[in-house]
Amino acid sequence: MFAEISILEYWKSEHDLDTLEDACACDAGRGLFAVADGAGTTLFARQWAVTLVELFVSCPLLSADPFELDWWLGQARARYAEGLPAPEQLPPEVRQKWQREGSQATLAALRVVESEPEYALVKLLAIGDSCLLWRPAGSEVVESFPLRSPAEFSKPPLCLPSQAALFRRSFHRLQEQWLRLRPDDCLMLATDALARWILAGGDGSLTPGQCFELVARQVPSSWETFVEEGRALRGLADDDCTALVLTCRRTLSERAILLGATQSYQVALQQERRRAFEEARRAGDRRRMAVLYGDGTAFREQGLVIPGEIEQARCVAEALDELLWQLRPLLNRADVAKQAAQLWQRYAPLLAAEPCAASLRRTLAALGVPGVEVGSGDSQEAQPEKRPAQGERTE
Amino acid sequence: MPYSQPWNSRQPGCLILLLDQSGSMDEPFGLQQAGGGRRKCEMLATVVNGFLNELITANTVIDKNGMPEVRPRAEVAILGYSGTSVTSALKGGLGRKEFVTLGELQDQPLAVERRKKRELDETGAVYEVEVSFPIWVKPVAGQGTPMCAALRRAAELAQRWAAANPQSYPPVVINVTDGMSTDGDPTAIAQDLCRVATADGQALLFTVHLTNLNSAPVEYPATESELPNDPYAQLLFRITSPVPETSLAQLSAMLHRDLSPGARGLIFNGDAVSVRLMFNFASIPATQLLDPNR
Repeated sequence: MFAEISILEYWKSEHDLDTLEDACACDAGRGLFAVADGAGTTLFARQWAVTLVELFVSCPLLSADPFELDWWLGQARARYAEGLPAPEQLPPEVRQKWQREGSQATLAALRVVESEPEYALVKLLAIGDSCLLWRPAGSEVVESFPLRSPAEFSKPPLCLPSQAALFRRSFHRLQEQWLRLRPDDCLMLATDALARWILAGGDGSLTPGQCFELVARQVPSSWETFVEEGRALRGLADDDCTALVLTCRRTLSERAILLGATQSYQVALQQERRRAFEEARRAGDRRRMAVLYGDGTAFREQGLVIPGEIEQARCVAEALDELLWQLRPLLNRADVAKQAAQLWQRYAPLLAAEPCAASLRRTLAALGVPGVEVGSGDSQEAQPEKRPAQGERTE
Repeated sequence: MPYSQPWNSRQPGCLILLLDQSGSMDEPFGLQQAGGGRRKCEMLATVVNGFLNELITANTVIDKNGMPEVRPRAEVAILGYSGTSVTSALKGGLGRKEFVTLGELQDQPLAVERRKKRELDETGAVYEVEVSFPIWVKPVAGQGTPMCAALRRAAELAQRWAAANPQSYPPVVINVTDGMSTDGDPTAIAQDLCRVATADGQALLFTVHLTNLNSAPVEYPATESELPNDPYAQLLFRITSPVPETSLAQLSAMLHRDLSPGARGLIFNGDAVSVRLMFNFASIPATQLLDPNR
């Protein structure tokens, strides 16, 4: 399959090219496309959005499995931290906000899994209100994913957080969908303002199909005018507007390029992941094992299938993260010891002897929670520490 | 569709807070309420200061040079009313201006309290962060509840602001009170206030009624029958604006429940949590919520 690709980017009235908080990236040769929308109320939102899309096209997330996403976000955090200032360089109030919230962004991504002359099989992944919209050749009907109606955009979107402590596997769930594209089908990845506008039929005077067609016809040089007119005359919200438009073609042409496919991680990455996994396994760090193993695809290809061990590791990871999630809001309360003791009672059967819970056990013991065994290897007294830098993992 | 303009640097929003500073604000909240035992005026000042700080940080961005910048997305007036007068609740240079920008607020707090707070990293280790609490508004409790004068002053400010910002989201006025008006029936003045308009809709008057009763607040009622059989509650219902349709879904997400069409921006028998939620809701156009779990 071949594809014509247009990247359309324009910013809201108070932004410019440098402060645009949307990001998009593609690698047509590997069949990878992504858009992200950084949440403007968080700091360094653009950098986080750019990190996510660039990571997707260089190291794509292959599934919506929560542990796979956890592993992938770890890669994103490491990249994101490289390009940011040291926290101590920021004014105190800004530093506090950043440490509290990090950056947040929605994401919509497409991976071509098979690219054949008559069809392309693609996998869509999304979280939040960045969307994929498509219209089969000759059809007026526009379908969309993950949001399907304009009303759904009124709710606050789920965002991927840059801070490990704010990520919750049970809550930040990616959605996925498979799709078979055929010649002359058109698909676009769009951030929220544009996706909503299309699904609403503009200001109501057009159909979603007409709006989709209007956007699909644009080229980068016409996009600014189109967006400005849309805002002035057709009910398009004043927000960053990004679309990555993909039109499938049967034949090569001046505008259509060969659409590649990606089915697995690159070998070097798989090997590195396996090495880190074995290291965690030797250390008995089940939480890290669970995250590194992810959905298991990268390991099954290397012949490592250990369902019982991974199931236990996942249970430990879930217990540890859930306990931490529930403990955080209690930490500065006067009755923290009592509340933490109740939590520990619930999770102790899984975490009492786990190396990955050593820091937690020290914290609980220091808070005065009775019955917490602090092992000989982790007997140092819990003292408040310096905050780890954004993206830095401390396992 | 009205009420669809976001608050942004080119078309900022207008927020007018009216704070009842009558003698009864010196009384404590009911013990079963959020903020129970604390004086209402103290809790209100804490909530206002926390809200302003959050509004400022939510509108802080990193500019192209990597420096933080507070976007001027809102213009704020905070008026206190007691005795027979209505005055700015802000002090110093800020108190002499009709409206202040978020940047001006950030630059000129009365004081900044700093406290240590414990946090947990993702392994369960504790670390400490210093948290700043800027203070702009102090607790005040005087005499009388000149609500008519306060609404009249809010209407004047809203009128001037709307004339200068004709395309913006219309002014939002939040009246936080714990008592009945002592200078007459505010109905006609509230109606005048809600006739102030921009191209994006009419000014909105939201109301939070505080009490020291140990019963649950009535939040965002759509009919008078949802309120106690109390002429004062019914008066507040009638002068309070409906929640704009464009905000219903966001407010529902904040409350974790569905709201009826026509729900009014009224909280009767509210507590500290109610006030904070109302402030957050009213400023949604400037602080689009992130995920609802936060």
